Amino acid sequence: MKGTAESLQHDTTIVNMGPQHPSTHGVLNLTLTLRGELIEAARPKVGFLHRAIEKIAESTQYVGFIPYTDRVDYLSAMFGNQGYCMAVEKLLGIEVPRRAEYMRVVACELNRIINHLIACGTFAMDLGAFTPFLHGMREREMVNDMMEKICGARLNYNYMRFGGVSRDWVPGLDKEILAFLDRFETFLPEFNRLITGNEIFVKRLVHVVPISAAQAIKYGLGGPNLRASGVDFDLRRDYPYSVYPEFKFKVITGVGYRGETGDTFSRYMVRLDEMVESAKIVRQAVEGIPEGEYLAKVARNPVVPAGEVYTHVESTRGEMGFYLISDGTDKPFRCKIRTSSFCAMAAIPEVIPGFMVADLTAFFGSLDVVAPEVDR
Amino acid sequence: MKNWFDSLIANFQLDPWVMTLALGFWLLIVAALVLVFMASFAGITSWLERRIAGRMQSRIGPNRVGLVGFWQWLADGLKSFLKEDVIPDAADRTLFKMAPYLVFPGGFAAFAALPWGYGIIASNIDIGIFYVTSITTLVVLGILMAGWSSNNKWSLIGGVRSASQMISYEIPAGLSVLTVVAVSGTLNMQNIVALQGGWPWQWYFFNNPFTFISFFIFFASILAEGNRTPFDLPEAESELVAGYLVEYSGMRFLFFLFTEWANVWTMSALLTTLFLGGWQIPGIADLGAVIAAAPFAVKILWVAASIAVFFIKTSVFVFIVIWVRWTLPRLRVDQLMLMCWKYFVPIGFVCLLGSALCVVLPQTGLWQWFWLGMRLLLTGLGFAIAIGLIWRAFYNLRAMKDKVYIKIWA
Amino acid sequence: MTANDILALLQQHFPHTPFELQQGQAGDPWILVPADQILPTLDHLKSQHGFVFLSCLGGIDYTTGLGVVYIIRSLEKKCEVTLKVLLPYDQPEVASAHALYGNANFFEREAWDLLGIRFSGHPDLVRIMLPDDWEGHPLRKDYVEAPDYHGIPTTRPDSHALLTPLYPAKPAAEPGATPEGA
Repeated sequence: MKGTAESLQHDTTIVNMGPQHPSTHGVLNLTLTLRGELIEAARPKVGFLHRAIEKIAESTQYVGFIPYTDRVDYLSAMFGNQGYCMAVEKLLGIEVPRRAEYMRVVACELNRIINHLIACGTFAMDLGAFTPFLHGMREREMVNDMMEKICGARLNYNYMRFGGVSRDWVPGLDKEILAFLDRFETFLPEFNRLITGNEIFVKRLVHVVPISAAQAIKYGLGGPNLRASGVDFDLRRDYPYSVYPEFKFKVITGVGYRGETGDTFSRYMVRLDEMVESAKIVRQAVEGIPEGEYLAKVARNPVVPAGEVYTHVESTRGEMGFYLISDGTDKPFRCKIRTSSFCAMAAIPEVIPGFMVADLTAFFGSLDVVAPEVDR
Repeated sequence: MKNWFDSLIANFQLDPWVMTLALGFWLLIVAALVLVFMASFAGITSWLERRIAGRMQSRIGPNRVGLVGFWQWLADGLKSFLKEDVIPDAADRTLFKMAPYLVFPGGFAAFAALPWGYGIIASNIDIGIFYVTSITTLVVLGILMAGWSSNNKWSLIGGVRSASQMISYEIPAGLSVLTVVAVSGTLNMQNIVALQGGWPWQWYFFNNPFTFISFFIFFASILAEGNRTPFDLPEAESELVAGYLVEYSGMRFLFFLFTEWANVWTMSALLTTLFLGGWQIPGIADLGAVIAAAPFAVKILWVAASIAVFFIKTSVFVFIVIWVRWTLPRLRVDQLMLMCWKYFVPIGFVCLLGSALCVVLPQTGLWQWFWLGMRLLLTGLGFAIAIGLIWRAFYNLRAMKDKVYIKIWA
Repeated sequence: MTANDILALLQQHFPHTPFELQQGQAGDPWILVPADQILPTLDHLKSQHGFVFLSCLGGIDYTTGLGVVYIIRSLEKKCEVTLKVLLPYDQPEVASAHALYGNANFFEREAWDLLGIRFSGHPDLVRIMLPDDWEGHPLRKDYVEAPDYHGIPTTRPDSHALLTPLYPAKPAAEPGATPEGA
């Protein structure tokens, strides 16, 4: 082959995985140095999906930036909304009515469920099992219909406003959500019977790229990735925000079920179990939602007093943080968005050497990295 | 087929060169027939696969082109014919163009030796099964050529993986074939079928415990030969974007895919021939005698019945191969190789020796009842597995607590 | 632990460093650290007080200078603290924290790429979001785009000029007049 004479002599090949590749979830590039099938080094290259959202924040009014926060991570758009609205509400010093907080929690946890459905589904698809993804999409379709009833959109929601949410629930929505949750309870055992217990699946994933707790903390991983490595940390419980303290839910930590703590299978199982916990939270929220206002009496496009604030939410992938600097006008001065996928990409060069290309596919799917969150 | 031709023109007294010409002409007709047969089966299998995959994934599958989307494969073939022929600039043009022409005959030539019914075989050579397993290895050469000539590191990785996989799994496949040949004593495809019987306990599948085990090894090995999931790492869509096929488009790409789907038929046909009694009809002890004694019209009916039996058995396995593809994830390449060399090959050798031992043991007298009992037991075991699978499927359906629509005409 | 407690701890350990606790009109307080002291401060907080998690490392362009913000968190104590470093425009350099926190590597590359803040000691300080041959640091307040990048124009023609034929301007409605179509 032309141009590869020297690589044949040195026994290593340099291959580009991405930016166009079905299993890097989005436009990302990993430049791999391979020795046969073994990876010797992996260098991530990001920035293919850089849309300058942080720069746009400086020239958009506060309320006009809310749709942009959806698109930071379109699969967990509600969390972007919530993080940003919480930052502005902190600066404004307003309190969100309890009904609005409950509605926010329902929207966010439903979003977490559908995101994990996609995460687990595409993860299985990367490994060759094409069916579980479509079964997950079947459930996701029902939630998308409910999201449409909640806020009018199926993917990029633009639902939350400063002081609450944009509109009240339509009557009958709570019964619909509860009906979905009843049905969802039977879905997960079916999913598990299909793929989770499958011996081939398990053998592909156990002991693949174990990330120790120290490494996970060092690289600032969050969410399921951090908890699967054994670190018992959840922003909803440890830095309580919104009305999460009123709900009873377990924080799922990886226990090395059929492998070791922190390996790929552990991350996958944590996501599956988190779906169950999210369903529990939604049920408690829907059954206990109080009457009241859905939006505090705030100007739609407020002038925010000067100051700096950092808010974070437990997004589906980890910690999504908004460092908002205001200079007293109606446009943000600086909005730095901290996303978990960015830190996950930083972790890849250290943990992957020594594993095979096929393991990289499995590992990358288990990290649940989405390109828009990496590049903003 | 050749015998039929010979008997046909035996009445005519012709010059030898006219006979040779006529024979050549006849061979072309037969080859064209087999080609049409194979291409149609490949296309229909692609349609079948898409429909079955859709149903298993809670969706419909092709349903626009024709009543149940049946002409989808013709539409796809037509589209591919009309596509622009793209060859990468830096690719090796000769090898790139030649690769499909090595892969396609590798799959197509196997169809010439498959026994479709009583007396219905394109070429009844005495080394039947040996011919089939050897001619399908031509595919390996084509795949390596495709991977190398694309001048693309990913397709090279895919091509090399595929070659190593296919060459490795030839061995357990061959050992399983030998296990059956040890019992039958002949490599001739029609004879292998004729030596089995119609009833299940007369099939080679349940002949002795070693052929029972080697059935499963053969099934897994030919899945690996055909690059089907769970062994489709070479063309792993999510890892290598179609691996060795990544630079191919249009009709060249379809050549590879045609071979894969036709291979599904070859796999199933081999399984049926070697293990499930081929075209033997349950209840008819000696089909040849029945056909010889019947009037002409009934002869045709009996032959058609044998073809139908073969089709039904083969279709069951086609369904199972497609079912397995859409259910199981794929194996990693080192796990694949490990399974072949550390598990299949030793078990294959043990089965071969065991089967040979069973052949040498006495078969008459009191042993007759022993062997009949053993075969009935194995038949029961086989059917217990099948019924267990079906019961499990119904259990899953019930546990879903959801309405399930099994409308095929959607 | 509040910012005041951490300030007290730091002043106890680094008695000669002028730490300053600042706060805006609204929002959270932060501790202003001199640029040459940030690495020992981070190291002390990480090793002695358990602030092992780097939550955010961001660059800011205050129009009077550049700034880098470090938000670190202690998982056991469940508290976080914001440290800030201010840098002048003519020498925006600060020590890299990549040895202490693994994800600081990427955060610092992003700050370099978008704001031009140099981190000394960083193993691989190259652009991360933008192409390698981009000129300028876009998040700066005084950034002006080059008119094109490899021949692709960076501005669009005036959109009003495009839309005018489709949406002709309507005369303003008089007060009291019914709107058309009502």
